[in-house]
Amino acid sequence: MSACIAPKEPIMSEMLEQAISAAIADKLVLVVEDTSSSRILVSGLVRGLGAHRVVSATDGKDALAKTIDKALVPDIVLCDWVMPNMDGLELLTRIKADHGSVKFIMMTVKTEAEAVIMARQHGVDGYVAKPFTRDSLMASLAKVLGVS
Amino acid sequence: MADWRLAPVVDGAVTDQLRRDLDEDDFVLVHHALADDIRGRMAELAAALARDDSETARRAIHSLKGAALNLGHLRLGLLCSHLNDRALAADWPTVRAARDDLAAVCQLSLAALGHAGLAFGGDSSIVRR
Repeated sequence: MSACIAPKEPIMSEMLEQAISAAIADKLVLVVEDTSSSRILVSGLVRGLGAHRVVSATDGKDALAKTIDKALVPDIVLCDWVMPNMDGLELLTRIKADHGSVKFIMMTVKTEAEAVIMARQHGVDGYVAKPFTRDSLMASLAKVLGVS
Repeated sequence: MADWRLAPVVDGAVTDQLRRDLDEDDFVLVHHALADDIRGRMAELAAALARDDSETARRAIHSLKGAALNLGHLRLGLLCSHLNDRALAADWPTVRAARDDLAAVCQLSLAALGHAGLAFGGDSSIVRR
């Protein structure tokens, strides 16, 4: 009997991972982080989840410059909040104004209610609290990709 | 908040998880990048404090905190978290007084990463050659 119950959770997780992998494979993902280790970490995790097209930017200004090229307008943005030159909130506002269909996930240590509400008011689609894990990233990606 | 002094330099469980989640190249790359981030942000912080640029100093501490905690460098992450709170409260004397502690904890993280120490210690006027 216990053998029937024990594998339930891993199977659910594997199914979710497969669903994310299928949904994200053809999406262009833009990772915006000012620290290179975080950029490499997020990009590596997203590639590991099945994304074949992952590009990165060092801050909001760099990200916005990349989206001038229509071929580089992302489907999903994974963005830090606190960055030099242009922060995540301003990038969110600008991206949503120019490309409303882009899904925007904020990755931040700012988890207090005020910050979450402010990000929502600016149209954020997902929120990942730092320090993040592969699972928390998966949960947020599943939400914006509409998979469950 | 947990006392940063009591925290392990590196949380082995996070390292093990990253080893499972990342491919081998990214695993190596991300740890080299953390060493660069530590050196870069410490230099940025020293320069910002020297010119009383509180915004840049706060951002450097915040960035270092995020980068350290993401890769399980717990002692550095918790110390930066404490300093970030002090910086947000504009308690700059405490931040300045903690520069030697911060430099020492950075050295421990760099050693754990297999990298040489910082070019800058806590005092930006001292350059180790």
